[in-house]
Amino acid sequence: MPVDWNSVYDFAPNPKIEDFANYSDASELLTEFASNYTSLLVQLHNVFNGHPETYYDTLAGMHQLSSMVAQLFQTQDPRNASRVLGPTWEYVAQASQYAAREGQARPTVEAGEPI
Amino acid sequence: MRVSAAVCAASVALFGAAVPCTAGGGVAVNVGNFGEVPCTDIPERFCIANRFGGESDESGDDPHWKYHPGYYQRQHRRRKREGDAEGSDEEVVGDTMPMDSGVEYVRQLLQTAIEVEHSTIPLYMSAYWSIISNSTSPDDPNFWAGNTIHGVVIEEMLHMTTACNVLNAIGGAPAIDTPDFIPDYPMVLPFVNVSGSIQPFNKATTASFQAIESETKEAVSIASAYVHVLDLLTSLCQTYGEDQIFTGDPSLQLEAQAAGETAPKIMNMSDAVASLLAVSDQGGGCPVPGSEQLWPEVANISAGPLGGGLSHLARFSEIILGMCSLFLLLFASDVPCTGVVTFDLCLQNANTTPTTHLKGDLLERRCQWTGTVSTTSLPTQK
Repeated sequence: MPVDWNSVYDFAPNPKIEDFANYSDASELLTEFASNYTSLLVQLHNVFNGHPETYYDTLAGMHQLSSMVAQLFQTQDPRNASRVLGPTWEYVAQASQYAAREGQARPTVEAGEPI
Repeated sequence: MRVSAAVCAASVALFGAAVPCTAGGGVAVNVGNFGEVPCTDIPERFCIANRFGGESDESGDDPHWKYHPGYYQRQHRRRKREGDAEGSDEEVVGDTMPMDSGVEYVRQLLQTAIEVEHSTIPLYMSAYWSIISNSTSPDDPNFWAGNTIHGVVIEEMLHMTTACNVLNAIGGAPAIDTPDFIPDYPMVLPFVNVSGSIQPFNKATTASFQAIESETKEAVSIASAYVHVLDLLTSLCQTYGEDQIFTGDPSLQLEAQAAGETAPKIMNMSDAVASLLAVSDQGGGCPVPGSEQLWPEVANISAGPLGGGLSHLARFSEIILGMCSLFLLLFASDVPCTGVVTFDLCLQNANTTPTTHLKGDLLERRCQWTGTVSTTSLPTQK
């Protein structure tokens, strides 16, 4: 039995938060996804820069992204009613600890609460 | 074991006709400095760009050509193909790799490898999430396809872990939380030169995943990048001693386990060779023992020592072929398999001439594992 290629949540390719600047509800959801993803990368950065013991807790964060995407897929794209919102894999400076580390890899700084 | 032509021929024909050779989702662009590794402080012949871009002139017009890594291996392989069983035993000649700038260069290559391994995850996860299944039964094709992609993602996490472990082992520091780490999709993956877009699951997207994992163009593949890294590390260890190169703090190492598979700690050169070649095999398949000279045209589609059944390339091919049951054929010995599946790969962005860059000893060390061997004939790209 072949794969049903049409049985998908359809979203506009390569979604960016800035594309939704005029839509505050969508923008908020997309920023939440991106900042949680950035926060996940902070944790992953720390795993490989001195805290290997936190690896499995970090992976659990991926499940949180999954539930956020489920919400995005239930939300209509305000620009196109036949589509839903898609995941914004973007860097959110406020969720990063890059500045707190002064641009260095180490010493690490624990991830804060995502936006 | 061969794969049944009777079962697969129709699907292959369908696939060959139906899949457009585009990644879709907009025009891919190179983004910022992502993946650009400057190569200014070491002899030119050690630069990865020479390994990746050097197919254009083997005629002898370019006097620098012979200093490109892989030149003698290609000559050796060609002579073997042409019937000279002895091949060439000439050694690569040239300058010695300087230690500090050499190690720093390898660290930057590994940092880029980490970025490449990571950049597949948003691509694959977005496609995986978008799939709507009618049930959670493995018999449901969409559930099965999603599950297959999810399994690949878990292994990509382990690949990223391995690259981080090797970087830490040689005294580097993986930079993951940085403004430049996340690619600006659509993007061209460094080392692989295939475009990737965040898109819902569809046939073209899956074809681009195939191209990302493919080693048919070994000159532009993550596996080739890892082999280059291993070549350089081997050279550095031979010149300066392993303990001068593997200087990392062992407490930084992570042994990661997921879905029954393991990314081990990397403590020395031997660990690095075993792990990076295994990562290469699990992604793109590997040479077939006894038929190495035909690789990558003839490839082993098994995932290799890391596990997972089929290579990522073969698993994506399976999805496109519409559950061609390669996996079943691989493990069900009572299924007659007399034909050969031809994977019609979308390699629109790949280089033109298949060449090899594996040094003899590294080539021999790939596929030093036992298990079911299933081969597939990959068409030579024109």
